[in-house]
Amino acid sequence: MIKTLHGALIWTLLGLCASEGVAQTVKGKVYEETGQFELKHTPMPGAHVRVLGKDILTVSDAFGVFQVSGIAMGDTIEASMVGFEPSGWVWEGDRFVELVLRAGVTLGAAEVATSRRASSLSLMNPINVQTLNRAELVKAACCNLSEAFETNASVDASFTDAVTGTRQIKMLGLDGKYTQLLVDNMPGPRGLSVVQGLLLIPGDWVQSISITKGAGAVTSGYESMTGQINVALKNPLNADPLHVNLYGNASGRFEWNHVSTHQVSRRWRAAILSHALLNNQVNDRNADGFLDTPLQRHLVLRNEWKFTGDRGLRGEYAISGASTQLRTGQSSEFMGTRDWSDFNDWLQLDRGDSPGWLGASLLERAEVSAKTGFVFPDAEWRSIGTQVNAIHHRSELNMGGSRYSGTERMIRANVLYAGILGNTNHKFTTGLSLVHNAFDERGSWSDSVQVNWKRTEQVPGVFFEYTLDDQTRWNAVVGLRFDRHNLFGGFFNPRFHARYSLTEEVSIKASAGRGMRVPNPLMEQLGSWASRRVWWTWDGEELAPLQELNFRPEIATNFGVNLTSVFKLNHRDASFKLDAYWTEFQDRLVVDLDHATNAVVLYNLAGISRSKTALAELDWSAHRRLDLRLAYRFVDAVTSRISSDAFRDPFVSRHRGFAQVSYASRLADEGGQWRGDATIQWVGVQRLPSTAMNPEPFALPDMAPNYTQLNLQLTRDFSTATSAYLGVENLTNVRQDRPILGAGAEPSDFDQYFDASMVYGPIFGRMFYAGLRWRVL
Amino acid sequence: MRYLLLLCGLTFFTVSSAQKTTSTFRVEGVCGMCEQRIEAALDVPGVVAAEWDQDSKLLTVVYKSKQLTEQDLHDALHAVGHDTAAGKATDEQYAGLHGCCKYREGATCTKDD
Repeated sequence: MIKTLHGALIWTLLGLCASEGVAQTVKGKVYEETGQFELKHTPMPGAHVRVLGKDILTVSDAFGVFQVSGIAMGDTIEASMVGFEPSGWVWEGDRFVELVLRAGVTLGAAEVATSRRASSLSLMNPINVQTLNRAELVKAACCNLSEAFETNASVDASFTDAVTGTRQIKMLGLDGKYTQLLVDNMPGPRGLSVVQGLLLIPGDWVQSISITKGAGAVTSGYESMTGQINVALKNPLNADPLHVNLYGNASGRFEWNHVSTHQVSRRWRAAILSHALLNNQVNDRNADGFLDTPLQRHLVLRNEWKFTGDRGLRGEYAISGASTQLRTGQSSEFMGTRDWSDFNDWLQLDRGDSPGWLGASLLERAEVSAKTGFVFPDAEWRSIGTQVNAIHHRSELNMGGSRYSGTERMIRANVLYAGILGNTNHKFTTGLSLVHNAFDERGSWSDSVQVNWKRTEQVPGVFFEYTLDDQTRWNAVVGLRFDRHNLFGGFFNPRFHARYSLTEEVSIKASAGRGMRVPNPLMEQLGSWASRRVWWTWDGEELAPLQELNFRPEIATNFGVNLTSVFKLNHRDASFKLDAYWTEFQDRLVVDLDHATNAVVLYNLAGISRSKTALAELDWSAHRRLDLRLAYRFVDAVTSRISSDAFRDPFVSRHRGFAQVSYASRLADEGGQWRGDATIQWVGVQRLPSTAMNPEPFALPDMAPNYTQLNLQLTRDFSTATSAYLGVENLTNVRQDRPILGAGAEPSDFDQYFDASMVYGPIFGRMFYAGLRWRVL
Repeated sequence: MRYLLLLCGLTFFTVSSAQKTTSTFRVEGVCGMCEQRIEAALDVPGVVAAEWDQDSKLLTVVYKSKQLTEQDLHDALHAVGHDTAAGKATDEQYAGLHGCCKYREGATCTKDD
């Protein structure tokens, strides 16, 4: 009896497991896939959901959610909607089914509009943000973030020195260190990586870049002075299943970039991103005996996970690692040395160990980040989020025997709560942050002078941001932030943004705000390592060799106004933007290259330091297939120095003009298209640090000549999946005169006057490049 | 160099200063996809700008009256399957439309993209 019962039970269980013919109930959700450059999955209400072969039909509710009963193992659930390709799912006992509807096939091709604007500015946003999306970024196939701003009028990019090829950015006439760089709204290149960190963000990983001028948002920290640049990387939700890019250029640089996304489970999606770079070619076009472009090896990897819960829980988790090696120096030393096995020995070389001047640089970085957010299901406006990230960064540098070694560890935690006051016209975000940042730096620039500097920062902070929204004529954002620094005490940083619309087509924006940062001069002034300059400090009365790096934090206040208007020019869309910004330092670490040609003098500001900038930009869609952009920017940046009252900052051109013509052919049925972009920029005269004390030929003029640079790129989309590009940078082959002072001189003169940091223009000259992009949709 | 750019700009204005006419009329359609099709159909020499509004179904088109007549515009739109204020597309022309754009059957927009 028992045995029979037992047997029956087993059969029942087996039957349940197989569940053939046993009707069940399943829940699910229907999504619509929207967006061209940034794919989004939005719940789709009103979609028909049926079980094929059965008389079961239902309609998804307002949240896209549906429930069907009477389904059996092996049945196919199909969601459909007019205008969308039906999407089916074979049910194998899943508790929850997700169906994504893509717009019809013909729409897929039609969606890629030729006239889609590549960069956008908003009339309604109170904050002056310019967003560059993929269409803009591919106009100049660039390799990493430091090169991504070549076609942008708001951000200047220049070389730090003539030997490492490292580029740094400038915004509002001030170095990139005063702009807060964020990656996916988390701290990006900063601290010791403030200059070199840009090399570790491959251009092909970037989904979009948002440039905010003026005061930034208080929610992301206290370090923004001239603005914020947020780089949104491709992520598991918006990237194509597979994207591969190959790039090669005439300087011998080859790159591999790849992004792939994977649906791991219903709630988890993952993305893998990789970047590899190799340059093993010795170039010395200007025949100064030094490599024009360094030999390099880069490897950057990133893995990102995105969690989407059914009940409002969201998560983004990422881990990334990077390693770069760079060698440079006198080309005579590179005969036959193409292998990298002795790289670590190069880092240890002392002056005199090799007959020629050699340089080497190593970067190693590991990073983990976690963002978790929860949106209250009954109140979309209320959410709570946490952001945690940890960074370990190591940088080693050996520039002709001047050695630097630095390690930085950072942990940052941010808790944000967003809600409303009464109704959604009054939104607020508030939260707490905690930064733990430890530095250990060693520098030696001769046998006698060595610096070892350790610093641990612990900065708890609290912030509150209020947004007055949805007012037709105006809106505003007020942010307050207080941070308590363990070394420097409390800092209060208020920030304010407002927008007023004069008409529907014209709006005026104003911003004001304060920011604070702790300087790390040895890495920020990377270029000075490639010289015979020795580091000094000045206490207001006399100079002393740099021993302690106990400088006060830098504090700056920024004010800005902006006028944005959209209008018709010859019946076609056009926009015009006018900006004026003023940055005034209350405290600054002045880097004085003018005091002596063999010194970098660091001291706290005594006097004034300010930067006034203006920008005018006109965008015009002159024809269906032709876009034009004209821009002009003005900078007046002055700083008080030891030797005199305030005078112009070096390496900043007062005037810069910019023009771009973009052509896109009529889109063929399969997505085939030709695109051509021509960018011309004119960089006005820049003041160079004084070299008047040097004898000829080691003295440069006080003012660097202006120059014009022309870049062209032709892109052929064979289909939506495959495209190839061919371009040339600096077509007119403009090159700077004597980028390396002392090159080719007698050893005694070289020892005294060598300086590769006096770079104001292109070094390599005309450079052709070509690449391929291939993706799986 | 800057003068060259200025010159380029001026050339554009001179070239485009021919006799231009603006017409506004109703064109049947449904969605953003229709908008792209309508505007792409008018991607012909002589048309300076064409904009179709999804909500009002009104098309505003600026064209050079020396090169085109208004009837040419209507014909171009009929050819891609859209009825206009001045006539209807043939059934064959209409049949080429994507499912979501079948305005005669009362297709509606779910979401504008």
